Amino acid sequence: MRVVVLVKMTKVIRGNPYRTDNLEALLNEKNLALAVNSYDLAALEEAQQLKELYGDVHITAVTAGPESAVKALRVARGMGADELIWLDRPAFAGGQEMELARLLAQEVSGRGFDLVLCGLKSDDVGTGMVGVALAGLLGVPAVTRSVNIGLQVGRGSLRVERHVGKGNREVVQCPLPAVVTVERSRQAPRYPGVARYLTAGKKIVRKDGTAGLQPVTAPVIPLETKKAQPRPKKIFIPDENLSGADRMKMIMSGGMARKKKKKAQTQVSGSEQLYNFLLKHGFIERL
Amino acid sequence: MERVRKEMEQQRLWVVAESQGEELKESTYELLTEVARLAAQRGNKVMVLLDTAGDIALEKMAEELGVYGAEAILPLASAGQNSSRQVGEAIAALAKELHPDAVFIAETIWGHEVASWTAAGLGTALLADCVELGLGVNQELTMSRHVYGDTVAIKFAAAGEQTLVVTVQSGLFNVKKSFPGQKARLLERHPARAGVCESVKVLEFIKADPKTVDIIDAERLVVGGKGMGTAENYALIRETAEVLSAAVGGTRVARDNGWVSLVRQIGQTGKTVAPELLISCGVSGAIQHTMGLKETKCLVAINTDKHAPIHKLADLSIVEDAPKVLAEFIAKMKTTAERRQSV
Ligand SMILES: Cc1cc2nc3c(=O)[nH]c(=O)nc-3n(C[C@H](O)[C@H](O)[C@H](O)COP(=O)(O)OP(=O)(O)OC[C@H]3O[C@@H](n4cnc5c(N)ncnc54)[C@H](O)[C@@H]3O)c2cc1C
Repeated sequence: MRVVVLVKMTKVIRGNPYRTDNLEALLNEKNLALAVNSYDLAALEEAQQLKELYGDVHITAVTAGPESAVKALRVARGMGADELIWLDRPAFAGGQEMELARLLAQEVSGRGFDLVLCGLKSDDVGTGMVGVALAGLLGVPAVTRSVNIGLQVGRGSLRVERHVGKGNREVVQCPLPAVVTVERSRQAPRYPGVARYLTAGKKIVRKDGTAGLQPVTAPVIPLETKKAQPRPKKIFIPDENLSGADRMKMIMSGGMARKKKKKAQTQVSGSEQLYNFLLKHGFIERL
Repeated sequence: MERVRKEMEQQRLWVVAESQGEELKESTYELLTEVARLAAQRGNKVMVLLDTAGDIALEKMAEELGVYGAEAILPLASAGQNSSRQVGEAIAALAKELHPDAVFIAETIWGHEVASWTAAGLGTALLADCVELGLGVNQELTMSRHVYGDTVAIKFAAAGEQTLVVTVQSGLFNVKKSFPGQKARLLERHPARAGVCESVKVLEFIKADPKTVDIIDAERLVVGGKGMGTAENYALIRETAEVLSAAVGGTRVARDNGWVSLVRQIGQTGKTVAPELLISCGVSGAIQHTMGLKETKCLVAINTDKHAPIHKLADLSIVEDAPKVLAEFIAKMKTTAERRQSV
């Protein structure tokens, strides 16, 4: 089985990002470290799991980007990839996901594949759309957010457990060839083997990553970049159904809950308070 | 048909609704309220696109969504299972023809997928997880999104004629009936079928088990810190978790003491959790711990020290001995359960 894993390096801010309000300093090259995208590590681990479980799996790792992107391939080799492809080109900017998807589709369909694995999204500026766009371009089915990938008997299709929120999982069957985006691997990604990591350079095949591609114009232009404010919460407004006096009370107290909280501390025992609170908020049911 | 197309072309802003059984999700109403506000400022109309695979009563929905600002409703007839690709590709095909200025979708698992398929179908970028919408000097749409793990915000403005595909975080906007008396027009059903994805079949659904679920995904958590004192007392945390169908978490001190494993540690060197309910017992609330709590919806703190920082974050503060409170609580829950059985 031919498995292609798409990997990339992401930018991470070194140290505590809240330490300064000076954005320029924060986003200075010196302050940014490169790391292999965490979801891609999970994808590499799942590929390796398939190899160990079923044998006869050939893993090709593909990355697109400048010289610095090559480290992702070294890590992939360390984690067991058999073939390494580097599509040499300048780094993609935000908004160019479609161009990247086209480049990858060109490479992947050119070499033939049974399964493409990629990370759910990238850690830095990711929108999580490349895997989906790739499946669209290749005209194959896609399964997103996998947490466990296996082969069905006969090996013509996959059995994928995917995360559908709050830890719940959905099991789907998907015919091959297909694209699967990986949210988590069934066990923590392994450490790359040092010997393989160090000798990976010899394995890397460099290709021109700029050939035959039409540039995509971004639909938006950036206006300004600033420090993110903590997520705004919904502004508190009293319920319209309350009487005027109650609304006034609510506004002055900043909400009923706060007032209750103070009062409750004195009279009832702690376990009663806990029980009543959970009851009131619907976490437990009355008798 | 021609007339319908002409009418649909007037709707410059589209909102994709997400259903949950017979209802629409709260996030859909939030988004619709906000988009309708922008539309009113720009003199635009809003069309809501609705996947009809759920048990939605369309007539009733048309009546209801109007007051939030919807001018028209377009039902999309998908096959149900795995509908995100069908819906997304159908929206892309429609948008290619009708050129709306933007398609807005609330950021959920389903919403994100629909948006990805829509953007891919249109060959455009996806503006995912936006936190703010607005208008620029020339009435062009603007939106901000956070990057680098929520530390940097970038504001974008629409440029050119391409349709934007935007997902917006939920929980940011108030729901408001800004258009009393308005009733949305119900348009003819539009098919949403994509051949290739129907080959993906759902085999089963596995409900998360609170005992084994990753604490990142847990809906409820009971967290114990050093204040629990001993391993025996820590068993009360597990027992409380069991009666509430919650998962167990811990502070670093709890982990150092061997009461929980590293995968259950919350905080800077552990995990960030996002439960609906978290009961924190014998935890001081050190910043390295609380930074892992910032997505928690409802927090109960039990700590003997009334000045402990954890109380500042709490929706309910209990200043008492945590093991005692938990033991009594468990006993109360058990007697209630017994009485329920005997009734
Ligand atoms: C670089 C770094 C990274 C760190 N990362 C993490 C991390 O990821 N996660 C993490 O949790 N910590 C982390 N820490 C440690 C953190 O600073 C705190 O030391 C830790 O969170 C405190 O744990 P605690 O609340 O269990 O214990 P304490 O701070 O000792 O608090 C115990 C609390 O229990 C209360 N108490 C005592 N007896 C009772 C009783 N009978 N009933 C009720 N309450 C009682 C006390 O009043 C006190 O407030 C990190 C520290 C550093 C320096």
